[in-house]
Amino acid sequence: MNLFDFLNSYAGMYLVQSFVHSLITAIVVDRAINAWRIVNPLVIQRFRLLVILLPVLSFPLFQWMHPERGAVDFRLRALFDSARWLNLELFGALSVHLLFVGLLLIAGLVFLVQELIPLVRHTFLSKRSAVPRTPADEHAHVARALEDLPGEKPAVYLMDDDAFTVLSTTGSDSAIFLSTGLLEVLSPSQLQAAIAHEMAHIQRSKRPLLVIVYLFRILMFLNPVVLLEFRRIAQEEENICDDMAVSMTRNPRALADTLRNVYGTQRDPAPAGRGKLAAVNEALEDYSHRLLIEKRINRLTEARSDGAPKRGRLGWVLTAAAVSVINYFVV
Amino acid sequence: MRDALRGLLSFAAILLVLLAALKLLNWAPTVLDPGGLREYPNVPAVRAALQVQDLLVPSYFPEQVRWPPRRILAQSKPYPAMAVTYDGTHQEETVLHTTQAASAEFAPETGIAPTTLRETVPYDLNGREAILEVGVCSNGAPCSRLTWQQDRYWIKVEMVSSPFELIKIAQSMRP
Repeated sequence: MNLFDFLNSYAGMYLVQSFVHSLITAIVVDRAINAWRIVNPLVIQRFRLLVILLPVLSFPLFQWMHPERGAVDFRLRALFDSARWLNLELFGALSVHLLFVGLLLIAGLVFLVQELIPLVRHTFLSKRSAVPRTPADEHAHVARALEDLPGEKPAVYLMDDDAFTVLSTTGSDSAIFLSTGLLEVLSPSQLQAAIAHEMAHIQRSKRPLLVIVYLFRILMFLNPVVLLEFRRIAQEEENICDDMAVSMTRNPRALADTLRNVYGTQRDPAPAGRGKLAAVNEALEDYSHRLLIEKRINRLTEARSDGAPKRGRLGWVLTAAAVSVINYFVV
Repeated sequence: MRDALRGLLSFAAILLVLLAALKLLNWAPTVLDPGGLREYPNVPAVRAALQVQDLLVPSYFPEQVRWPPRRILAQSKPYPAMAVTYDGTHQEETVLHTTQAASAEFAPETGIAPTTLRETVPYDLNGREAILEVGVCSNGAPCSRLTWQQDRYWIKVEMVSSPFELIKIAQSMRP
């Protein structure tokens, strides 16, 4: 079977249509968020989840509803027929279907290198060697911060490290880890904000929806649109946890200062001998990371965290319905 | 309320722009590459546009089939193919459909394919091995189908009738 025949098979059509459907969904969702003036990160995330969830289901559902959707007659009447573009040869030599497959393979490679391998390595290493940790309950600041926070308190551990690190693990053994270096620079209110943010992550990780979304994201590992959208969802998750932390502490400024302290400090210079490309890549990643942190800090200091989630529900239903109808006629 | 209405109008405008963009993007490849699947007014136009000369057209038509054909679909890429649909003389329904394609995958929906087969027999068509299928269409009318391979093409002729007229039509097909 050659590549062209594969793209016309059920699996190939699934790949092609899920890509086109996710692209259309991403455009509509992005514009819908603006049209409905949605600022609440929880509602924004709910909108963005459509980009991951709908394309996984749309093709098999549409084919089940109308098995002749891939046939010539349906394609002729379709709003957009991807085969017209895939059959093209640009400048008489450059096959669009080859470019398309190349794009999918790059997305798959990025998923493998940047997401799956680090995740597997992290899981493997954390099982092999436990991080040296000491319970932080006896530390006065930590004990005070936990005391004033509402809800179920997770275990908090200290890691003997000068770097500014705060992280949490999820699952049945969920816990928060703070570096001793961080404890030295954060004020009590900033420490409380950091712990509250991590508590929010632990609470959110118990939601089965996010697990389902991650599984769907893995299924769509070749889809570049899903790759980008999943990162935006992860960024929105940070905003949601910021809002939850602020609702616990009632102190958005403390969380903004914590972010400045944790991420605003100088990073270690790249080790000598590293290639130019790797250094550029690291600089770009660092730059984009800083931009995101700046956005979060601005959001907290401008008190833009309060949105209007009520209006989002109607907009969400309309967006999901519009995208589903349009995508039905996109083959 | 005003905000909700503004949001609704703005969202509707976005959808209209998207629909127009999709229509435009669907049309653009036909300009960039005229070899894609599209409708043609007649067979000479197909031959001229796609530079495919070996397209078979019947020279015999029974009275019940209307000339000219209602629809001619053709493409040269990714492989040459042509599908011709004929209506009945006294009805606006397909009674005859011919398909010629350089791939077995090309299968437009004809609406007159036998859904219940009563007989499948090999048939000698002008010295070529063909398969004749006789059965009933989805609407209960008798219909038949003849398929064979000729040079690089898969050829299929379907008709709402007994096989006798179908065989005559198939025998008369010439480039």
